Amino acid sequence: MNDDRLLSVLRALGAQELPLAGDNAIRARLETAWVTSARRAAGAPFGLRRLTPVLAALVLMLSFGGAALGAGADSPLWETRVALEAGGALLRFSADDRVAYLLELVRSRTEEAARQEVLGNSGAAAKARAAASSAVIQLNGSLPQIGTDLVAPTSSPTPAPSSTPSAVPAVRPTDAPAALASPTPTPASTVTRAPATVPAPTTAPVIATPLPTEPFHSPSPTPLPSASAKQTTTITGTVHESSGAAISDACITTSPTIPTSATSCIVKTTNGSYGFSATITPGQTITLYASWTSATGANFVGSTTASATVPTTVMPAILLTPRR
Amino acid sequence: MGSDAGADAALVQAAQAGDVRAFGELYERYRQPLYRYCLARTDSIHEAEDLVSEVFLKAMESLARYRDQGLPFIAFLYRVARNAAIDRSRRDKGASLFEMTVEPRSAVDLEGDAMRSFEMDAVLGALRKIKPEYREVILLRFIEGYSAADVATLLQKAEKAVWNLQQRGLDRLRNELRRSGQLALAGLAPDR
Repeated sequence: MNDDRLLSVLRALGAQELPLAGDNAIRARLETAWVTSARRAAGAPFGLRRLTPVLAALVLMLSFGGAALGAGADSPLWETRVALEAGGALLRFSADDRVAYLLELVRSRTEEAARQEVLGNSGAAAKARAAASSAVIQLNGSLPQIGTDLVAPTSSPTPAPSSTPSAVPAVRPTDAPAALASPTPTPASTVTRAPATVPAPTTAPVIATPLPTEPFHSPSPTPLPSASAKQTTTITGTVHESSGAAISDACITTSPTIPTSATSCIVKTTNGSYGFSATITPGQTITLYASWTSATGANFVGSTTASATVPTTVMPAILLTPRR
Repeated sequence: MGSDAGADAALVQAAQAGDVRAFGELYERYRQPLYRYCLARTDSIHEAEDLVSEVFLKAMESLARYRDQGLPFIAFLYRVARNAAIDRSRRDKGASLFEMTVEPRSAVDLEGDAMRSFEMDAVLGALRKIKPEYREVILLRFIEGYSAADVATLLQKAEKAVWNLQQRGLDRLRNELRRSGQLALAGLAPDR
């Protein structure tokens, strides 16, 4: 009697995976249960009568917490919001979820700082920036670090070729950026500079074709900062497709060339977010490129440009469009 | 398996001390094999998901009482799942059988996927009908790919007993498949 077919079906059953929706629902249930049981454990020595004020306080805190989570940096509830948000990171089970959550915190707090600046509330803006910095500190252990500087283009010894879509500092990502854990600024002499000095990759036509979504950004007109002003920043942002859906596993690079097996991404997106640390000169222009291959094999690309700020640079969202 | 047990023990210890991430890591490690185990013990994907959830919740509740016996944590989860599934089947006795549908695995080979899906459905159906001790051994040996020695450790049985259960389990599985008209899967008809 031949069991081959039966055994192969049994083995195929081994590839069955917990559906994502179910997985997420289970995680949510477990997170809630963990928090509830932690609270119960904390309250266990009390009798019900003694617990009543605690429960009342909890109800108040929850409603207060709900309000606090929407508070701006100019609100008295801002500190509460920051504390509640920081606690939220502990409820993220997987490292990926935690990083995505913290990146979102960095982004929202940096945006809050910018909003407060616009409103002229410099004190509130400073508080929001401080909160963003503390999220960055929480993040830094988990983020990949770029071992090379993102160098201003004008420092390049050779002019960039005219076919290059952007003269912005396009540094080829190193083969293993995540392995380079040191955030210490690398001496400028070790940096791979603008495309002119980079050997032409085999996929050269892609480099020569400007990406469709972003207009050309000329090099920053700001004076070239001195090398001594280099600092480390956490660069974060999001990647979406045209429907607005956040894209996971999009490859982020500083070069418009879509990475091949020979090159690698600085980082890949998780739940649509990315983040990494890099050495920059404040005010310099940074351009990042995203590429993503859908389940059907279609390639999408996009890019974004922003001025580097310290300690965080929140890049405008990258909108992916089909690669031409 | 030994190093798994060591790593598990460290994670369990951390989780017992209140480290939610350690419990999260245990979930990451074992959610998939546990899901497959539950899939073979319930009548639908949704029931399997519910059972996975119930098992991890029970594991969380009994974490304080859990004592390391040198076994991987999954052995404990399987034991919890077995008991939870028995409780459920007692509760749901008389309920109509839910038709199991295995999701196609890719959009490319629809016909092949449909056939695989149909066969997996049939084998899962047959697995659910055989005795739990046979089902467990077949699941761990062929679906999860453990060696007979590992299964013996997980189920705390002698290796020879595992071989016997495997042989008898496969016979019962073939009988069930034959009874349901799956002659090719039962090894009684040439492959289509």
